[in-house]
Amino acid sequence: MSVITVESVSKRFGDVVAVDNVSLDIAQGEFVALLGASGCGKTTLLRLVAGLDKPDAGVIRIDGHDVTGTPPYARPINMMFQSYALFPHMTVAENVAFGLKQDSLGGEDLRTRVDEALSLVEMRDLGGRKPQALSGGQQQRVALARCLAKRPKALLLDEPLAALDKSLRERTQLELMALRRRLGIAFVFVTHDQDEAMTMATRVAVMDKGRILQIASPRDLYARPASRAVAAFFGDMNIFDGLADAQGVAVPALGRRLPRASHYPTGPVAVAIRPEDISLGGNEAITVPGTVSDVIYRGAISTVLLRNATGAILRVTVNGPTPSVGDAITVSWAQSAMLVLP
Amino acid sequence: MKLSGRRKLVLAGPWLWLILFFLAPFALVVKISLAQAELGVPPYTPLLDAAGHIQASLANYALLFTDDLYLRAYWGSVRIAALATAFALLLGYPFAYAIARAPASRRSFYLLLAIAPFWTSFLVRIYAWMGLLRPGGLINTTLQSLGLIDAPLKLMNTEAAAVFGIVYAYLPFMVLPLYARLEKLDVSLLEAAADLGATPWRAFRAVTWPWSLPGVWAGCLLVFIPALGEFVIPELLGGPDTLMIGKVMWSEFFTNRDWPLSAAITVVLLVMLVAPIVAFQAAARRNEAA
Repeated sequence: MSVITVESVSKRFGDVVAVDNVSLDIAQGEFVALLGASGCGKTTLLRLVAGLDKPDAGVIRIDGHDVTGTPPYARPINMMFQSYALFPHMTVAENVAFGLKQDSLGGEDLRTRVDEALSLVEMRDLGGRKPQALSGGQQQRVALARCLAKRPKALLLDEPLAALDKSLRERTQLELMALRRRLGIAFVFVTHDQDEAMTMATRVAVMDKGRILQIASPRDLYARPASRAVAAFFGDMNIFDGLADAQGVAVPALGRRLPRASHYPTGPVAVAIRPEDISLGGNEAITVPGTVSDVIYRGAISTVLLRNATGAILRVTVNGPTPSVGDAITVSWAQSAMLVLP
Repeated sequence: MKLSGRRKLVLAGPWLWLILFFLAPFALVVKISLAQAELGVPPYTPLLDAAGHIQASLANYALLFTDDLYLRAYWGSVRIAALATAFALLLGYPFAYAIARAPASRRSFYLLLAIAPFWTSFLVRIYAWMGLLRPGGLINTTLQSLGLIDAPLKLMNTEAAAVFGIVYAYLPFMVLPLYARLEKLDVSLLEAAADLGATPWRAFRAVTWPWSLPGVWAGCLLVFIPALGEFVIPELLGGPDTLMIGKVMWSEFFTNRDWPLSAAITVVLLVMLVAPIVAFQAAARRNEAA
C-alpha cells in the first residue's frame, strides 16, 4: 500500500520548470532517496509533497487521500529542514512539544510524547537547552525528534546530513537507517551525494532537469543504469561515445569496434564500463593497450589512469601493486561487464 | 580592555559630540533649574551670589510635584504618547510585515515609499492636516456634500487629532526598525511551524511575533520618546484643551520667561525618558542572556 503517491506533478517558477511531469509511488516502510545535482528539482518535489509549494499540475495523495489542495499544517506527514529550522526562542523540549500542542495535546500526554521523541534520538537530558547551545549533530537530532513526535505517516528529510561533518555523517546514516526500521514508516530524503543515497536508501530516484531519470534499488542503478546520465551520476564510470548498428558498436575513443549483443540499442550510444570491472593484463575479451599517465593512491585500492593511442583516458581500479607512470600496459574487460546505453 | 591609540581616536568622536552637545548643555539646564526667575539678563539668579555662596534650591521641582497643572500635563503627555505609540504599532506592524514579505527586488522601493513623507517639511505636513481637519476643511465639506453629516464634525483641536498627528508623523520610525527585524526572519521557521501543524495565525503568534519583539521595542521607543516631549503637533492639531508637557514648557519659557521652571520641567522629562530606555536595555540584555 503506497503512503505517498505523486501523479504527473509539475511545478514551474517563472520560466524554470522545477518539476516536470513527475510520478512516484512510495510504499510504507520504504527509504527513498531523491538524488540529483543542485537545481534538478529534488527539493521542490519534496516541498510539493510537504505542501510548502503548490503544484501547477498533477495530484499528490497521502495514504490514498488527495491532498493536492491541503495546506501543509493539515497533512499527516512531517519534514525535516536542511537548516533544521529549530525555533530559536524555544527550548529543545518546547520545540518538540510545538507540533503536539497544535494537535491540542497537553498535560501528562504531552510530556510523555515529548520524552518519548527525545529518548528516540537520545536527547532527553538536554530538553531544557536552547537550540543555539547545541552542536550541529544535536540540533539535527532535535529536528528529527520534533518531526517524529507527531508520529507522521511519512518523514521527509531535506539534505539531512549536509550540515554535519564527515565522521558524524556516517554515524548518523546508520542511526537514520536503524530508526526507520524501528518505526516502520516511509522516509523520503533529498541528497546530492550518491554515496549517501546508495548507503541509506532502499530505492533511489535519480533526478535531472525536473524529471526522474530512473528509480530503482541502489544495486540495480549501479549494475544497470538506464541511461548515460544515470551512469554518469551514479558511481565512477568510464563513458565513451559510440555508434551501434547491426554489426557491432564503433567506439572511436577506444580505436576499435566492439561485438554486438542482442540487447544493445542502435544509433548513437554511450559505452560505459566501471573502473573496477577492468583488469590489468589481456586476459578478458576486450583489450585496450596504453600508457599509464597517472596513479592515484587511495590506500587499499588505487586508481590507474591509462591513456590509449587516441588520447582517451581510462580509469582502472587496481587492488594491489600498481604499475608506474609511463609504463606501457594492456587492460581488458569482459563484454558482459560493459554497458551500452542509449 | 585596553584600547589601541587609533581606536581611542575613533571613539573620541562620538564622546566629544555627546559631551559638547548633550552633556554640557544639559549641565547648564540643570544649573538653571536650581535658580530662581528674576528680571534681568539672563533672567535667573546666578549660582554664586555676591558673597560667593552657592544659591541653589529645589523649589522649582517642588512646584512641579505640587501644582496640579504640571502633573496633569505630564500625565497628558504620557497618555497621548502611549496612545500614539500603540496606534503606530497597530498600523506600522502590517506595514513592516508586508514590506519584509514582498519580493526582495521590490523591498527597497516600498521602504522608500514608507519614508517618502519625510521629503516634505514636517510643518507643511501638519499644516496640511489642519486644512483637512478644520470645520470648513476638505473632510467636513466632503461629508456634508454627500449628506452624511448636517453640521461640521469637531475634528480639529481635540486630543484625538493630536494623537492622530503624532501617529502620522512618526509612523516611519515604527516601520523601519520593525522591518529591519522582520526582514531577517528565517522563512523556513514559518514553514516548519506550518509543517508541524500550525495554522498561519498560530505560526505568527508562536514564531513571528516573539521574533519581532526587539523591533517592536525599538519602534515603540522611537515613537514614544519624541512624542512625549512633542510640542508642535499638540499645539497645532490638539488645540488649547490638549495638555502636554512640551506645550507647558514652551509657555513657561517664552510667555512667562521663567527659565528655571522650564529647565526643571525639562530635567524631569529627561528622567522620565531615560527610565524606559534603561528598562529597554535591561530587557535586551535579558533576551540576549536567554
